[in-house]
Amino acid sequence: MEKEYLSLKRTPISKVIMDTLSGLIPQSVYTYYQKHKSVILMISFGLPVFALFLTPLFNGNISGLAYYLDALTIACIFAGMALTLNLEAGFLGLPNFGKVAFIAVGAYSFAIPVSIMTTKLEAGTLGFNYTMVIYIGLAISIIVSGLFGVLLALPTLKLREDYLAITTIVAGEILRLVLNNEDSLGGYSGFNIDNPVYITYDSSEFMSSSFITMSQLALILIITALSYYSYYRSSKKVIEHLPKDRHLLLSISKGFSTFVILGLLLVFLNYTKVLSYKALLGLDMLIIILAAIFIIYKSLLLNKIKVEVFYVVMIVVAIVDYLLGLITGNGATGIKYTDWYTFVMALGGMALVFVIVEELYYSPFGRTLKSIREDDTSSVSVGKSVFSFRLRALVVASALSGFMGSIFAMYTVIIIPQTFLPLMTFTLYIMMIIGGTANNKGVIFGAFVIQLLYAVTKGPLVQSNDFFIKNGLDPVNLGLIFVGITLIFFLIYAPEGIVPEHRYNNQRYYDMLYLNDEENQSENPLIAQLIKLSGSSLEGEEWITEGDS
Amino acid sequence: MVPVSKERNGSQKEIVKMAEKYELKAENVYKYFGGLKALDGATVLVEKGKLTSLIGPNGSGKSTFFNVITGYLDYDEDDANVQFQVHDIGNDEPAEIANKGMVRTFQHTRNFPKMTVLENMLVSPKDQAGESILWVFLGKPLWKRQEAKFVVKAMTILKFLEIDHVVDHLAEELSGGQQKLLAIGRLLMTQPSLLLLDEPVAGVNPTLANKIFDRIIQLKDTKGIDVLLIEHNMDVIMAFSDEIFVLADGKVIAQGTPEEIQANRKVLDAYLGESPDEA
Repeated sequence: MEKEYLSLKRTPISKVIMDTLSGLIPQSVYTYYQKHKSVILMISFGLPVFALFLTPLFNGNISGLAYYLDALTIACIFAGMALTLNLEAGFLGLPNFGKVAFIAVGAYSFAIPVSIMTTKLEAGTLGFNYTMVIYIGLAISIIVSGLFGVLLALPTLKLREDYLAITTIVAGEILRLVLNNEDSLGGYSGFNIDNPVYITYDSSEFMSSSFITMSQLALILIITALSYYSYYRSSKKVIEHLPKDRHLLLSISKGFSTFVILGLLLVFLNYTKVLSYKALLGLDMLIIILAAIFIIYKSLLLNKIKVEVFYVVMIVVAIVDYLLGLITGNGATGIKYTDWYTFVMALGGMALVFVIVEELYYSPFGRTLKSIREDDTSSVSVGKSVFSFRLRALVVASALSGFMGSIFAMYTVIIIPQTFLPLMTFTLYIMMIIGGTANNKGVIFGAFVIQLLYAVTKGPLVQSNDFFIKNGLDPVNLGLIFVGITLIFFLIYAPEGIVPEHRYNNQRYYDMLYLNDEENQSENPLIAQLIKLSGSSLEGEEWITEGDS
Repeated sequence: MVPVSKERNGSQKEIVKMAEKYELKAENVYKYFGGLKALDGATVLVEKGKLTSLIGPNGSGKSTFFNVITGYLDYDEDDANVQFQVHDIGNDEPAEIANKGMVRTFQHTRNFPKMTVLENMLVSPKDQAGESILWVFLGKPLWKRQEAKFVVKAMTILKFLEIDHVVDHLAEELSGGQQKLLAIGRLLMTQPSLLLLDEPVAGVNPTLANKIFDRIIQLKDTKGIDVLLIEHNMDVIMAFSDEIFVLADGKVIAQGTPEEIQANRKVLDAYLGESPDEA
């Protein structure tokens, strides 16, 4: 009652509009909209952007293919950053407005050791190669930004949400101003990254030593096949608890997911010329068609499992890739190998962050984070230490955003303090809100839509059109205008975003129940070892009710 | 009226001896809000196997007493002596106290509104392997098996509380009475030995109130879970309590069985104001 009154008072115009609309539109259409809200929103916001993004390609204007690669790379990087923000602000409800500080720390702590090591390497006083330099740089950046997370968390985590927001935004600004005035870190003009890829002129040779070779890939495929086979064997126990068609669906979808991910990886590796064999057109066609069949199979034929946004995004990227290769022929695209390399790094980084964040979300840890977001006092009353959970989540999110920050540094080559304005944090927030707070797949979708929109307004389609210039409008600002309008629209009509959080997800708990049928679980050598190492136990007091009336 | 030990910590022997008889012993609890004495040396003892109630007029400090002994508020004087089983919990954090087996509900029911009833229940168990970030990735076979066990336990408890038909709903979609039952269910998942219930049947119709109390009695008798509760509903308090403490202006003014309390002049005065013939 009270709530209704408040919402009426807050959005009177929108309420009036909605009421009028629902009066005009037939009830069946309205219920259809409510039922398929996320798909409709996804198409109505995603499709125009993707269409505009791809238009120059079909205009025959393919001179600037680097433009596509650039846009997709930065979209992947921002998607990864938005995912780490989602871990803090979406799952845990911690309004960290100093996200840009963690990215800056990650970028600088990657750039500094790498340039030191590269100087030594060129002088011949270093015992390892360029590949190791990058890996060591990434490791340092992850550790340093994780520690920075602890440093910022200790004084601020016990603050109330609004004060935490103020403190973190100020922390980000302080860091930027320090970097701006510290001459040893490059000061205002920024810090150059001695990217080993740019130094080694034979970059294809570099990459073939950095990434997996054909035989290694074959090994991975064999391992995946074996793991799928064992999954299929072990999941036979599920049959007793699930309808048979659902069981079949589960194992098929598991197998297909593995196949799609590895197949797309193969396509990317193929186009990056990492593999020593020539690009095989037929192989790529096969993989892309199978992936498409996978989606159609899941969404249309059985209509029981939702289409997974992540795979859709991956496949769109792959198809764009493929078209580029098809039109221009491999190796004739005018794209530098180093750009491909950065793109693969960005995509791989995003995928890694996605997997980590998704695993955390569907674990007891993620569930406790959600409970703290819902009601922290109540979490304390069942014995959860709120501070410890917040600290650990913040440290993981900082380390991951430091990782994405170092990939960002690789992409920009020169890092300038002016890049790390608070606006970057807000862009990440907008991506999260539009995509769907606390839904990782939605966040990736939101990041892609917004980054591609920015790319369109900066790209050849808009820039070659002198309509805007004639009317005294800088086309680059168009993106900001559109995103602002979209944000307002979403905050009023769909505050939960394009793909809302999946809340009614009890099925995955029922799917675990078959594990109870195992006899002598604690005698299983693997489980016994895990119990020993973790200090946890499987022995719980059984709850038996007697005299139930 | 109540034996009060002068030393903050008695000898080890004494502690064990007290723990044999009393589940919770909270002596000399003081709490001031500015000039207001919310708790003025209150002493409450919960005997094992007895349903103990804490009553008193509004503003007498009942909820403050809960907040202080469960660690949500600090003590204001040093001579408080709070012993739960054999633990001295005077300086513990709320989460530590809950992990020792003394858990509480709140006056306004607090569940996790945007999570399903089952998830609400699954947050509670302690020592979950999957709550450590490293073990989320490394110990998946272990925590999945733990989860499967917890799901079965949660379903049994929900069935016991007769709310198992709403297991797939969000907590916010439940009725007020069901939410109160869910709050108790969440506590039961932690394997508690003492429940502190703050108005478990406030705003609940008499039939459901009796049902909730039936469940509480059943827990006490079959599971050995002791209960200390705050309640304003005198019908159920007098019908079900074994021991009653009456709090007024931060002091315990009476203690005894329901019959003794009903006959006590001081209690009547506290609730209705002092009678004119005494003034």
